[in-house]
Amino acid sequence: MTRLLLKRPTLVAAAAVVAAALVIATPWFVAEGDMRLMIEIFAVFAFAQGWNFLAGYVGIMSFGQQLFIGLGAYCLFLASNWTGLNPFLILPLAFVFSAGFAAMISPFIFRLRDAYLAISIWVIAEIVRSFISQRDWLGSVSGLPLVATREMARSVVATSTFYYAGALALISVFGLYYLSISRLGLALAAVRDNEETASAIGINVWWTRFFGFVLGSGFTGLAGAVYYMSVFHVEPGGAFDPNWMVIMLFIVIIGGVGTIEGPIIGTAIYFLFRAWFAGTGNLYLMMLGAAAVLVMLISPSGIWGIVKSKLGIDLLGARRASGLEASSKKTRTAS
Amino acid sequence: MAPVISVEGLTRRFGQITVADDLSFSVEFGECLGIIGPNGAGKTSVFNMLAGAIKPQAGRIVLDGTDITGTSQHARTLMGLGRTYQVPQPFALLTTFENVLAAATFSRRNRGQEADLARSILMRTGLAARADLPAGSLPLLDRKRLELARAMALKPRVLLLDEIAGGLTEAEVTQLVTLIRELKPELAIVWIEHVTHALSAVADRIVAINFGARIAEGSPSEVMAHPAVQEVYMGTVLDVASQG
Repeated sequence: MTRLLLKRPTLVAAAAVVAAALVIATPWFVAEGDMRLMIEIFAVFAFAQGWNFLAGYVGIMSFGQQLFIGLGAYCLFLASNWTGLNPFLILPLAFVFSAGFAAMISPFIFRLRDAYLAISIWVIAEIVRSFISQRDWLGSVSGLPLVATREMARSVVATSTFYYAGALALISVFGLYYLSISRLGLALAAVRDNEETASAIGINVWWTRFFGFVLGSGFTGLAGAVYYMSVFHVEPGGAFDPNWMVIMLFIVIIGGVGTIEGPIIGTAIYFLFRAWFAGTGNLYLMMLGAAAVLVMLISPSGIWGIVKSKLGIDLLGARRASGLEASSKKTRTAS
Repeated sequence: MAPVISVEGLTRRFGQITVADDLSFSVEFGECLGIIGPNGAGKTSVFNMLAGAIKPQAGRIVLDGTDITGTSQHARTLMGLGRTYQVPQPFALLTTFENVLAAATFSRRNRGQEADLARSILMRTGLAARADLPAGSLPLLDRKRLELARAMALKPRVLLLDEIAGGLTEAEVTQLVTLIRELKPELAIVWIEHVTHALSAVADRIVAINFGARIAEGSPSEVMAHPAVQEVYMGTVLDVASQG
């Protein structure tokens, strides 16, 4: 019982400090090759969490978030190659550009609902991909290298990229937690659940969805920039690949949409599957699909959904306790 | 005394159907205006126009002296308009407490006391025991209670009640009437209701409408005794009987 004396946000803050310390210490203990894999895991986790934020916290279903992965990456590569600036310093630009692009398309795509909106973003992703593919000054189909990192020391590049990827992962967990328990998180949840009622309690539904979409897409763009910075090369076929979307969907659905823990589990399963079945070619994709179908059949709320309902564990949920239930629980156990 | 809310010449048609036909009424502070009419008479549409969910084609709506005819729904809420839904519309994944807390928070009328207000409203509306359950899991009665609780948390100047007593048992209706009577001195109420005895117990005046037009207005007993109302309602009674 003493454990409960500390309020959850305080405990989460302590966990965040420990996690951040682990991330900071990692380059001293982990080989560069393993760090590269961790960067990929963190980036893919951030992609998934970005989509989870939109689908599970804002209530915007998008099937085109690869658009922002590509935009973030291209923005960073072009800005760094043109100006010669250190990509690590201008990384926030990838967020600003992706968020700005999301803001620009919002007035149009928000006129559409549900599946139409979801697919419209996918269509825009395809348009941007073919636009870039046909422009030589954007690298055309063969893509662009990241010039600035060539002259830097390898270990500096690896460590810096790792820290950015680690920061993305930390924000994906703890940033999302604090956002979800904030006033804004409550407004987003209300809009997600019922737009009509949300406006009836004084929430500006359009601006709330707009803000959520811009924030989530900007974050995906930032993660895209970090991911492609770690591979030093970006090309339109890969950056705007709908397979990114498939991976995000797999991770979030299998883990549990609308939860922070779910995509952590989903990301772990995705990378384990990939490691085990990497040599099997198409079989690995079929295994992913089969696993997703299986989880959806057993529990539409994902693996974390089962844990939450069966075991009553909720680590990073946004539940605001009323303080009224305590008394009724006591009466229930007494009777 | 100036009315808190008034409606002048409100008109709205959907194709051939007229849901509001040059409708005018006003409600003062501490007063409850009832609106009755058979199914399809345009009651809920009138409500949606008051709340800002649909726009009238003619006429104006004035809240505390300000013309709000073109004001969006969320802005009207901030100006003091609170509504319930005939078919309950909770935030299904949020808990009952969070539903009420959200209303207390975003109406911006309870700075710093949002959680306390939400708790006290849940106690007052009999929802305390279900405070931490997802609102989507509540049975109908509790969903109806939640509609009222959420509207109360807005601390509105005008409370719009849409068939809040429909589907409740006699005992539940009595509880509800008591609660609404308690609320009445602090605001103006516009109440659409089929359960006329509940309405009569609270309303100071009743407007009867049919095909969007006013057919009678007056005290509850006057309106119930009005020939036009009786004629319209005989039809409804027969309908209900034949549906069985």
